[in-house]
Amino acid sequence: MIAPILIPTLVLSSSAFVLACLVVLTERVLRSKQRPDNLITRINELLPQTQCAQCGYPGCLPYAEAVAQGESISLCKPGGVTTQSTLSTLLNRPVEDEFQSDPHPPLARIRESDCIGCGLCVAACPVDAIVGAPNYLHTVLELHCTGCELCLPPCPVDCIDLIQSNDVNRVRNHVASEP
Amino acid sequence: MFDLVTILGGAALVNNFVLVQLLGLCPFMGVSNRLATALPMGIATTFVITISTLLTNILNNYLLIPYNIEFLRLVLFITVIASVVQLTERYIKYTSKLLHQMLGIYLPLITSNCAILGVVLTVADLSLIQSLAIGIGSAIGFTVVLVLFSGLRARLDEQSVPKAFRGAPIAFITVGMLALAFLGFKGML
Repeated sequence: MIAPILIPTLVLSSSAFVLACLVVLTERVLRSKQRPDNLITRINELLPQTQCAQCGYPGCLPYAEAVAQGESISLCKPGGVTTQSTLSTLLNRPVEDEFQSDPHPPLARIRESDCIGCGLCVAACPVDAIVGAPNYLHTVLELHCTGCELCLPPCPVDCIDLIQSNDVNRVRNHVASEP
Repeated sequence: MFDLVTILGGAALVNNFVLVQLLGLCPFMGVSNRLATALPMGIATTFVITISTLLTNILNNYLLIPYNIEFLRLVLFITVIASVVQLTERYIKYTSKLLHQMLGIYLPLITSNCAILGVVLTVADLSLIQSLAIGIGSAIGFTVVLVLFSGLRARLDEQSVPKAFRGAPIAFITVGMLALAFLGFKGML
């Protein structure tokens, strides 16, 4: 009497249970294999996320992956010494003596006479160091510029120069000494 | 052996689920924008169809028919498909986050891809080998058509289409022409 209801119920619920167990089990297995990737995420969080590619990798995440594989931790220019020391704490690796990135990276500077105010460099700048309204002169905030050169290719009139002078360092030191 | 090849080719080309039977159009239109998403989607669907054909065929022949409860087919098959899709989605999520983001909502939506339910229901009463051949064949057919059409759409993007036809309308017209071309395979069998 009860069999016509019982059998379908049992069949359906038991197969659903088995399938659900399968899904949960796979998820567990996959997540346990995920461990090494967590390290990459944590390294990535310490990087400045400017995606400037000065380290030689296409962005911060690829560099984080490379660091997890054993790449040098001293390649990040925008991060500088700070990033290197936090990375060395996380990875338990010594801070590399020879700081491979340039300690005084150059600055981008816009030649005011040539700038047409197109705004293409503003879009390209990963650290928002270029300011200026459309159709008006743009300028580089020297404090924030990391010298990544990403603003050079988009400029249609090639009015951005990279300057490397004591001037630059004076600006940086002056800013750094302020509270 | 020759029979199996005929079944496989027939399912892939002659009775193509998208173009001839007009099933699974939603993911077909949804992810064929770019080849980069079309191919992974095709492979994911292939995987889902193959595994669910296998599972549903076993369930049907060894559980539903002996107990005489074939009316449960629809519910049980959808459950199986949904679980296999969840498996696939999880696998993709943990292996390639980027791909997971690119496929987006269309990945869990494989569950409601009627092509899969169509295949599974069609082949439920056949033998295991035959049903697998049809399953794999139609999955390959789905992938081939998806990839072909993503190529066509890439070409379409570069053409100057009249404004009223831009986007979905011209895509549907192109699908129609592709379906007409696939009708030509009817002569093969």
